[in-house]
Amino acid sequence: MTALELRRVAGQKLGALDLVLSPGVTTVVAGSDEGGGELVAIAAGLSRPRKGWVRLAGGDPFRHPEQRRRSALLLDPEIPLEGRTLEQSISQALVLRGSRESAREVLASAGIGAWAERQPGSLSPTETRSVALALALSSDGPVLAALAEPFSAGLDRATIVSKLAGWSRAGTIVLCVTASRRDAADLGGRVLELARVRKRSTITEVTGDYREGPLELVVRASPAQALAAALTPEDAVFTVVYDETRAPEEIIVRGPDVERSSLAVLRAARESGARIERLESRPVGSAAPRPAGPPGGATP
Amino acid sequence: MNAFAAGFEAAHERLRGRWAAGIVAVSTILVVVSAAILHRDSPADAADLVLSGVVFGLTVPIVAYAAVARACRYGRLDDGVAALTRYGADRRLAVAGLVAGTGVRVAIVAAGLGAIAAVVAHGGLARDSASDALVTGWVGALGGASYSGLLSLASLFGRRGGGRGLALLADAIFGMAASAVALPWPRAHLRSLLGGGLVEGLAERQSAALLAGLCVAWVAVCLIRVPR
Repeated sequence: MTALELRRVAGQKLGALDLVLSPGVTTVVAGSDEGGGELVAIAAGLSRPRKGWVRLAGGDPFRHPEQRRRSALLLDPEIPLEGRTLEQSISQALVLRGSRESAREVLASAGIGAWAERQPGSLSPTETRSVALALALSSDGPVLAALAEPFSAGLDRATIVSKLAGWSRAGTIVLCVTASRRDAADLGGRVLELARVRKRSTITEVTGDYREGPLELVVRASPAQALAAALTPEDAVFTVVYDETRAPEEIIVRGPDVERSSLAVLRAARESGARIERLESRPVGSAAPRPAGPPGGATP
Repeated sequence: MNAFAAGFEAAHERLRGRWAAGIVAVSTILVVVSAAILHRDSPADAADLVLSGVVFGLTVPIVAYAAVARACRYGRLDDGVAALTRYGADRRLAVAGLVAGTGVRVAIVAAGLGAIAAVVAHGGLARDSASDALVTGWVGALGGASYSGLLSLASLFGRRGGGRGLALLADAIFGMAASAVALPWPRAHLRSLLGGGLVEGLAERQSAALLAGLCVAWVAVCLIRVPR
């Protein structure tokens, strides 16, 4: 059976990581500090681990061009494209991959067909990721799809999810890496969490529903930054939004349900010494908060 | 398109445009101005001074360093072809193409700089200066290619290819000697080829052959060190 095996893999940020993946979608929740991007590059054979080894279907992808040819890859950060036009650049990639598709078809399938004549150097980092993801998604039955933050590449989420599900059914090992638990839940499949404890990277299986609930909490606190930092490790909080310039005393907290998130906020406030001035719930994404509660009190 | 051609094409893409024009313009101006000043001050040995000093002692090594660094995208040589290997290109062939593409371009620029310096230092295009320009052009091509080979190999060392900086420094220090420590460094052989001191008693032809051999060896070691 085809498998991706990483044994005691160490890199710049990864340390002694053990991970075995079989066909299907697996999402690893990890930020760049934990080595999420590095994991994708090493798994796909683009970077050599400092220690340990990688096997993809029995071979080392770093030493076997054939295995890299059969991998779909989205890196974080992406490698800037070269060539005089995007069409030329993508054509070269397709030829190297042995694909018969045309560059224009690849771009059109991702809804970015109008970019064909653009100069690769004129693309923003997000646009570069869009093109790389379009190329990755155009792969025909890859052995491995290793994608870092696939939803941040500016392409349609539903298209990405359905493509990955199709590959998964066809026996592809799909490895996605994202820092967002919500994205991990949307990508489906197995969810693992990558953490770094001392010099070792550890993987733990995440169970339970990591979808955010319909309500979010708006918290006015002082100092809000300390509260936001204290909330980050809370399991009942999936997303913490803190914008220092626009709302320096406000944070937005999203989680599976407001009750659990509220308790997490109170716990974090106690730990960080932050004073909560207002805490209220509102539908996710609604800009206008409900009237303020009593100052100094918490109304979960 | 195979991986070698893709690597060669990548070198072409990275070493063209305003950047390349700027490097060529600055180095040409530096060489022409230096040659003209030296010709005015001491016409008899202006050619020797400008070729061994400004051209092959300073400009060619720096141009080669800048070109190799840019071709490697200011990182390691093997990381410089990641844009190709991610789609299944053979890393070794892609590196070979990138090194060859860079070497050819640096050799052409170095040959041009040598020839221009010789003509200007002789005070114009006469029969003597034309034959001197041909010889220095050939020496320049060999020097440019060998510096490219050395710096490409050195770019495989260090997390971001910092080995090429150390190689340039080592060439500047050890290449000044006339003893055996100077044997692996292009600077020493180029000096010998321009009529300066011999390296460890080697004749000019032997120095040229050794430099060409070293260039091939550096590239070969490069390819051996890079996995497919």
